[in-house]
Order: sequence, then structure tokens, then C-alpha cells
Amino acid sequence: MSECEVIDEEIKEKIQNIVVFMCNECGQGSANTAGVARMAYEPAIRIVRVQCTGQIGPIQIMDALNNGADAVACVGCCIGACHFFNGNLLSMHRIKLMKKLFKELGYSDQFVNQYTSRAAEGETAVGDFEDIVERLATAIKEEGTIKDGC
Amino acid sequence: MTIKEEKVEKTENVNEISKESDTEEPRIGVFVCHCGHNIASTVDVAKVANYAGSLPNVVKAEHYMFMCSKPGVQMVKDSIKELGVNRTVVASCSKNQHGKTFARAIEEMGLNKHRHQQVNVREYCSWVHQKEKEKANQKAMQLLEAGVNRARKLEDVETRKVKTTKAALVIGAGIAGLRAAHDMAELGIPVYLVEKESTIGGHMTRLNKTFPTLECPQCSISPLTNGVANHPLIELYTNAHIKNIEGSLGNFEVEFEIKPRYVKDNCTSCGECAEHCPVELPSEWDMGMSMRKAIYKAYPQAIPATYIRDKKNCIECNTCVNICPVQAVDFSMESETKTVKVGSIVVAAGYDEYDPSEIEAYHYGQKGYEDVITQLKLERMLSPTSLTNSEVLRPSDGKIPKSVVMIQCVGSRNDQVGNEYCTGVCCKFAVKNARIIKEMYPDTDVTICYIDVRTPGLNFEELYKSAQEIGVRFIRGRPSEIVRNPLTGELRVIVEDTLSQTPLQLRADLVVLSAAMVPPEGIGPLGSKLHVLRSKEGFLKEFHIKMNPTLSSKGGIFLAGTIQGPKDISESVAHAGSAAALAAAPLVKGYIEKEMLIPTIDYDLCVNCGLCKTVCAPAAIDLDENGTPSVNEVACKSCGMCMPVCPTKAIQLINFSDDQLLDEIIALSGGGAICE
Repeated sequence: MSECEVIDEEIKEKIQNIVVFMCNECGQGSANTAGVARMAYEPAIRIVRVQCTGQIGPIQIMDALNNGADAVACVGCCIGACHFFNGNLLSMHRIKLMKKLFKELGYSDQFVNQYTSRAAEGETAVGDFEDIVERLATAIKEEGTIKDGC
Repeated sequence: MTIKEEKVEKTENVNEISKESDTEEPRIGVFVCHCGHNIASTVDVAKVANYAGSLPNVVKAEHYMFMCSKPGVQMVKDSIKELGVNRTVVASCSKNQHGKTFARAIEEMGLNKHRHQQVNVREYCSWVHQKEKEKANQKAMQLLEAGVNRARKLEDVETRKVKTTKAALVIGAGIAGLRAAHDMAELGIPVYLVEKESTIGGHMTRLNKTFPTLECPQCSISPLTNGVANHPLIELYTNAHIKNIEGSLGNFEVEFEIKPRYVKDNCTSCGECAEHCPVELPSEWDMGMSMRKAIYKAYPQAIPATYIRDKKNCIECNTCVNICPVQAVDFSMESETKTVKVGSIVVAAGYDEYDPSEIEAYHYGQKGYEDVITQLKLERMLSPTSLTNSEVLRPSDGKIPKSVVMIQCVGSRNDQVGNEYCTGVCCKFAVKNARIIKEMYPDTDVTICYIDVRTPGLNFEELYKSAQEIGVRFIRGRPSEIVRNPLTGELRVIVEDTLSQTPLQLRADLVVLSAAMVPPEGIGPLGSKLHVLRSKEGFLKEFHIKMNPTLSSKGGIFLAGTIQGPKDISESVAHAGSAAALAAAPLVKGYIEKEMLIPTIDYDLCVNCGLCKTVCAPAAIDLDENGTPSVNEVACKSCGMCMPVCPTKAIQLINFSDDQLLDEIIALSGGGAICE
């Protein structure tokens, strides 16, 4: 939380919707655990339930950004713990390519990120969310929002 | 294609799906739960329900104190009956908690259970944004809108019963394979047991004593080997290897080749042939510690007891053919291919001992370093049936060693050879063997050079302590080199005792390397035939390390014993028992129930690129001769990984398609498109 408080209120106001694709296994599990433990995080986080992060491609990410999302993130299982084997790795690879694309297009590569979490630990999900917000805030401070660039 | 057609016949619908779902107008019922104060104290539920009522296609929007209670569920049911609601959205807790409650309720009312959409406004909203009520309210409305958008396009999903073939295949007849085969046969399942060696029992039969109780492994395993060999439901095939595996959970077709023994089953194992055979070779079973003939039996108690001819080394003098009293030797025998249909497969292919010759500094297997041996060779030397009569003798001169040095972690916990893992059993067997040697020869110095002594578990610390008490020396440090005096031939182990920080040179008459367990030879081709994934160490990867360590990446293929990772005998037996129970379950039941949450392929869009197959971990996508993909509905695990790789959006997972997700994403991203 402490890092979040450092962020300027002005920038924070700009962050309205962050679409987070969370897999049906560890992703959803960790967000549920965080909820049960009442761990507060940024209300801008919007969780979409998907089967596996490997299901998320550029289409979904671009759809979200095109429709007004400030940033997109995928949260999957830990490396080696994907319930469908390597969906998280596939997604990670895809996000890496997406980041390159964003840079080439002249945007910040922080609008899209990949994370992992553990169903048993709500902290992992909240940590991911905080990191998303922090990275996005830094990106907005330096380069403006994705909407500004459009 | 023939297999596929058969499978369709074998499946049977459990629920009828209405084809109208594509054409009928969606009538959505929205229910917002207060969850006592859990949701209502943060989110203005009345406002949220009102907002939902204004959304298109929503015919009913209500809020209630406890939706999961009986009156709450009744509200959902009534809306279906009275208002003709055909899709329900409940905004309450997580899908895991009460999603099933409402899905079951609408199923009772004759709707497909996949037409229910659960929106989580408790864990994802009210509980985590208690201090920001305004934003929480906004978020709840957005979440609900997304849920309604998603519900609008929800499709019916069938549940099908797939009949299973009541038979199982076990690959490998070591302790794990035998245990799994026996357990399944006891449940009344016919088992095909395929072993690549000529005998069953695996590594366990080679051991001298098992830790921690110092029992005779041969006596422990013989009830199982005999039980398997004589079980009416187990068909044993030795000298056989898998050629091809097709199909998926419940219905596999396996092809395996049985190499000829060149000795017919009427062999009485009298041993006349071996006695007169002129060819002598080091015995593989005995780790080269004794000799065998070109026609041989691996060891006296071997099962099956039939002799086998080593065709490669046979000089075809025909002595055995002529001398056999029952005319069992037949050089004209040919290999045979057999195809069987099974429902489950248990892989128990075991492990190989790491070959330390890769580590240059230890000079294993080099000339002049004959006294550097591995633990398995030491086991063979100590064994009651050994050539040395259970004595520990130096291979170079046959004398009893005055000092024995054991080196731990050879090939494991070693980045240089690429094995980061700890085998976990080397410390235990080294301590056991050190104690046995010290008890046999109290004058002999026995030293163990270790990094960490890892002997966890019941009775193992006691074993470690007893070895210390008896006088086994433990030195903490990994030896850097084994050097040989070229004049005397004496071996010295160079090691730094890291506890006292003193460099040492240990004189060693015999050096024993505690070599790691590594994946068995040929695991690569076997793994690709099975279509299962392997871990980076090369072992077959389990489905989930904690919750399902016996299932492989593919449904219906189970792992037993060391093929999944290093294990000792007790762990292997327990692992195999679990694999047998899981493999037997669908076969005993006779069918598997599967929700057809599978991708559909639009063949007009498909360009036959085959990318979907490359990412499909459970190998559920088959390509025909033209490269046209088809989905194996039984094997599919509904992950949707095939979707993003498709260049033409031809393959779409039902209820998770790009189109369906888009509607949900639009609502959650804050509405309309910003770039027109």
C-alpha cells in the first residue's frame, strides 16, 4: 500500500479500468483468497475469468485497450504449476512480444504485463495488482496514458 | 478416422441440449445478493439491481438478503417458470463457492447449467474495497454489466458419458509397475504388463539390503513377482517395447513389439545350454560384476524362468540347440507385434543410475581406476548371490580394501552436469552400505564425503546415527578429484573438509560413487509416443506436484515410481498404489462423464496450418492426412490455448470464444471504443 500512496492523486484519478485476465486455477484462487482475507487493493482492477492465461491473445488485449482500459495484465499460475501445463509460459512469451510491439508503436511497454500468483496466498494477487498500478502510474507520469497517445 | 467414428458411437448424451439457444431471444434474470452485510454494507445493492434492470435483455432484476438460501434459490427458479428467463446472472460470491448451487437450480428447471453466469461482487469487490464505497459501487455495476453481456451469448454445453475399455496397460515391471499391475488386477481389471528387460523386478532385485531395516529385497519382492506372474488377469510380456499409442482417456490403442527369446516356453530352466555355451560376456544385470553366457538367465530366481539367447553375441555354434533336453531352443523365432485396447496406462519405466564417466575428475571406468565403482556395483558385490561371495573385494586385485571412501552427490546437485535436483536416496543407501562394510570389516576405514547428509523420515536418522556410532567417518566436502599414483597404483581422494577448513588427501583402496537417479534411456521416444510432457530434468511431468502427482499431462496416463522423479522403494510403492487406484477408477465405473466444453473448428476459415496442435498440451488435436485438425473431445481439457495461436480465428472454445469474451471486456474496460 505504501508505494501506492506515493503516487500522485492526479495520476491515480486517471486510472479507471485495469483489465486483469485471471486463470480459472491459481489466478482466480488467489484473488478469492485475497478477498476472504479482506486485503484491500485498487478498485480499478477488473477481473475477467478465463480458463487459462494461455487462452489470452493479442485480440483480447487489444480489445480491452481499444475499449478504454488503461492497462491489461494476465495473471496465471506459477512457473511449472500451470494446471494445463504451459499456458502461463505461452502467455508470458506472448506478452513479451506484445511489449515489443508496444515499444515499436511508440507506447510504453507497461500497458501490458504478465504475472503469476498462488491460490493459497492472497498476498501474491494483491502484490501483482499493486505492481500493475505502480508500473502504470510510472508509465503515465513519464509518457502519458494510452488514451493520450491515441 | 475409424477410431474416431467408434468413439462417437461409444459416447452417449447425459443431457439433452436444445438447439434453439442460437435463435431464441435471451431473457436474462439478474439477482443481486446482500450476503448479509458482506456485500450490502459496501455496495448499494438496490442501485446495482436497478442498473441491471436497465440493461438490454434483462427481464428481471432483484436483490435479496441471501441468494444461496432456499428462498433465494426459489426466486431464481420462479423467474424461470413465470417469466421464461433462459439465462441467469447471480451477483454474489465466487463461482467456486455458490456457482454450483445456482447451476444445479437452473438445471432442475430444465435449463442447461452452463447458462448460469456467476458474478463475484464479494471477493472481487465489496470485501476488498470497503473504504472506497463510491468506486466499489461503480465497479459492482461494471462487473454486473459484464456478467449480463457474457450471459447473453452463453451456449449450452453437453455432458456426455464416454464408455471406457476395461483393461489397463502397465509399462515397466519394476517394483512400481508390479505394484500397480497387481493392484489393478485385484480390482478385476485385465492388465497387460510390458517390460523391456528379459526379467521382471527391476532395480530392486539387484539390491543387497533395503534401508532402514536392512531387509532382503529379494524376499520382499518375490511375493509380488510371483503374484504378478501367476495372476489370471495379468498378461506379462518381457523383452517387449512400445511401438505406438493412439487414443485418449478411456480408450487407448497400444501397439507393442515382443522380441524373441529364441527359447520356447517349455524351457525347464535346467541350465544345460548355458553350461555348454562357449561365449562369455559381462552380465548387464549384475552391473558387470559377474559373467554370463550368450544363452542365459539373468539371475537364478529370475521370473520368467525361461532362458534367453543374446542374438548379437551368439556365434551360432548350435550347441544349445543340440544339448537342450526338451528341444526348447529355437533360432527361427521371430519378433511379434501385438495391438491391445486399454482404458488407462500406467507408466512405471523406472530410472537409470547416472553414468559417472561424464565427470572427468573421478576417472570412473578409465584404465587404472578399476577400484572406482558405483553404489549399485557395490550392492551387487555385497549381494548373497555375488561372485565374491558377499565379500567386498577390490576389482583390481581382489583384496579386501583397508579404506573405503564414498563420494555423495555424483551427478545430482551438480550444475556442471545439468542435474540440479537432489536424488534424495543416495545418503540413505550410502549410510546403509557404509554401516554394512564397517560391520563386516571393523578394521576398514569407511569415509563418506558429503555436502549435506539428507536422511529424513522415520528410522533414517537412527540409521545415520548408528553408522556414526559404529565408526563411519563423515567429511563435509565434495571431492575435487581422485588421483592415482602412477608407480604404486594407489588412489587418493582430494577433498577439503569444509567444517575444519583443512584440505585432505584420503587414501582409498576402494572409491564408491553414490550416483544419481536419472531418467531411463529411451524415455524421450517413449514420452513422445505417450504424448506426455517431461520436466526439465527429463522425468515425465506430473499433472500437479501437490494435488495430483500421479497423473501425467494427459488424462488416462498415470505415472508410477521413479519415472516421475527420484524415489525410494516405499515412496515408489505408495506412488504406484495411487496411480493404480486413479487408473482403475474410470474402468471400474465403466464410463467417464465429460462436459463438452471443447473448441469448435470452423472449417471454412481453417487454413490447415496445424498451429493449434503444436500448443495443445493434452494432445487433443489430431491432424488428418491433409493436415485438417479435429478435436478429440475426450482428451480435451478446455484450456483454450489453441485459440490465440489460430491465425484465422477458426478454432473457438465454446463459452470462451473471442466474441463472447469481447462483450465482457467491453463492459469492464469502461464502455465504448476510443479509437473509431
